[in-house]
Amino acid sequence: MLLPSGVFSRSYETDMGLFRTKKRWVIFSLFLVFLFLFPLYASNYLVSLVTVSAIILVSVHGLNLLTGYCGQLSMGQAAFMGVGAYISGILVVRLHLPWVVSFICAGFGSGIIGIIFGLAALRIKGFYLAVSTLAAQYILGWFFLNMRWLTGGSEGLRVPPASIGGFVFDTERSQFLLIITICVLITYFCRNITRTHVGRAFVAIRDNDLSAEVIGINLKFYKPLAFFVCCVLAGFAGSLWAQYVGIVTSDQFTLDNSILYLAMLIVGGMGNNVGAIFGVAFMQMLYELSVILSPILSEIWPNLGGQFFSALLNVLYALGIILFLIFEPRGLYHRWEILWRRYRLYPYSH
Amino acid sequence: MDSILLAIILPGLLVGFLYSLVASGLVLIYKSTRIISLTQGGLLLMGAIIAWVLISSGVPLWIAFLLTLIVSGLLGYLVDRYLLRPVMGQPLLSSIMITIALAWLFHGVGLMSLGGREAILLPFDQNSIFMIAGLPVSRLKFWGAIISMIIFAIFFLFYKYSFIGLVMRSTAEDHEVTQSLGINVKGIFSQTWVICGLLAGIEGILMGSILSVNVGLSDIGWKVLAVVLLGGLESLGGCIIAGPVIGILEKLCSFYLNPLVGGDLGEIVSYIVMIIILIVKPYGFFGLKRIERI
Repeated sequence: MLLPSGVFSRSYETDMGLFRTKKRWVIFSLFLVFLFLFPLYASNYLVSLVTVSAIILVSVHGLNLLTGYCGQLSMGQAAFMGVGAYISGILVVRLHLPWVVSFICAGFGSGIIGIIFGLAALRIKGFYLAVSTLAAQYILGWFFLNMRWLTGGSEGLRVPPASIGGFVFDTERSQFLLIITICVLITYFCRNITRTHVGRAFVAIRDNDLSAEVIGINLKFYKPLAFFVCCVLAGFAGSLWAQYVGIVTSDQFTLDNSILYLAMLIVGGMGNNVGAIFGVAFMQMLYELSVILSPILSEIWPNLGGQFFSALLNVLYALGIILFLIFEPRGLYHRWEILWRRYRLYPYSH
Repeated sequence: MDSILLAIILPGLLVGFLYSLVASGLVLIYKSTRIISLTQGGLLLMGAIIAWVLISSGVPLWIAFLLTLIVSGLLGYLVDRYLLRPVMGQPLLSSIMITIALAWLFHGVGLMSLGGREAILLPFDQNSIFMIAGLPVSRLKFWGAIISMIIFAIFFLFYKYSFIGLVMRSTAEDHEVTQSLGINVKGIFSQTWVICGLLAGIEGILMGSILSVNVGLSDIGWKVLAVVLLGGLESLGGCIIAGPVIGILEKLCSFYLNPLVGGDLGEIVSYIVMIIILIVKPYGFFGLKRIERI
């Protein structure tokens, strides 16, 4: 964190503060104002793009806490989002509970189901959480598709838009405001987790879990906690997704999507709150680019068919993970940091 | 009595031997490099697709197989040399994520080449059967299982009795000791991956002939994790036993539990086995008990 000269920390609280100078507070407030007034001057298409990105960002923040800060790999993030989506949908549609209750239950329900799948793997040293969440992805996917009496099978579950205290969020703008508010709050929550002893425990576990245990961090508590928080955030994201998209089907939460969220995290920057934002933004832009280019490319090569380009997108995501892991494991955010640092320290660019 | 039971178990047994061949590649890579390589399914799919492309463009059968094996081995070598070697010093998380991403890459390339259709690899009749002990057994599945058992046996003997096998086993024990004996450990990693690629290529040809060449082949790569966990991550012998167990379990669950549940339970039973194994016995039946619990 680069500070201007003359700004020092005289106490722990000021050192750990989010924004250290008044100027940064002002810039941040302006950014928040810009964000919340976004629907006023942007087209509907852009607003819906940012809304979907915000929902995915909630999920990727969870994955960041688990994989970026705690070092455990989870391949089932999309399945836990699906759990949250279905729980939220079922509570609203079948049991007619208010949306806020269903939102919270979706989060914690997803967390509990995650713990059921992951607790055994978290108690063993090694990469068994990846195996366990892969199994969870397939088992939950099968569950969504085949338990028709609960989830509506392949026809899906129709979910009405959220309503808080009688106010229904059924316009694009109100949905945007709701989702952006929740997203900003969850980003703040994740930033705070990483600033406290919990976040430091996670980082210690990632760097060397034997040493972490030796200095007194209770692995039995913190590893499942990281996974629980990841699944809770996935559940929140799923609940928002359900009420935004309006229909929940099992093919919105496949292994495809899990790997996409991992790709977003790795491309953006793994151990970093802002890295998650970069990753989601980059991947969404890539997707939009492919949507724009697809008709043009299929005119040039008409014998390849439409499926070629969605498969090409998969290949690009996978290639993104591989190239970033080999060449820039700290992600796009690190490159941005380097540029920013060069600007701040100009002409002393080292 | 159990004519029905045998009719369920026998196909499961045959499919299980195919799974154990794929699993043996995974076990080999884990033993040598400590990386749980999830790329097997992708390499399998690539082998099947290369064989299909070659055969359907008129190359004679045996030359096509040979070329497929060469290309699969080359693919394994390239994966190790250019994708896994750069991340050798970094935490294991990076390597495993690269193998997962590779599996996804191959899956995507497979989707691009196949375009969602299924392709018949070989001009064999899918339905020809012959009778064993009064039960109809698919000729393709039977010969597929026999071939994979033979290849597994060859490979096992090679690993146990040849010099390269000995060197690989010492690498699997301890990298530093092996290096201090003057053996190029990085070269052994490459050789391991080449062998793994070859195995995946053979398996791709077999699977492609028995089932068909479709993108579902890469899902076998995820399923064999159950075989490997059941048999023990470090045990080749465990593979050959756990493979048929998983195959038989799949078919049994499929037959008995499907009417109860209303969907195809056989698809996910291997994943349920994965989770149960992690709870009950994480080192599998024959693995070494080196897995620590926190």
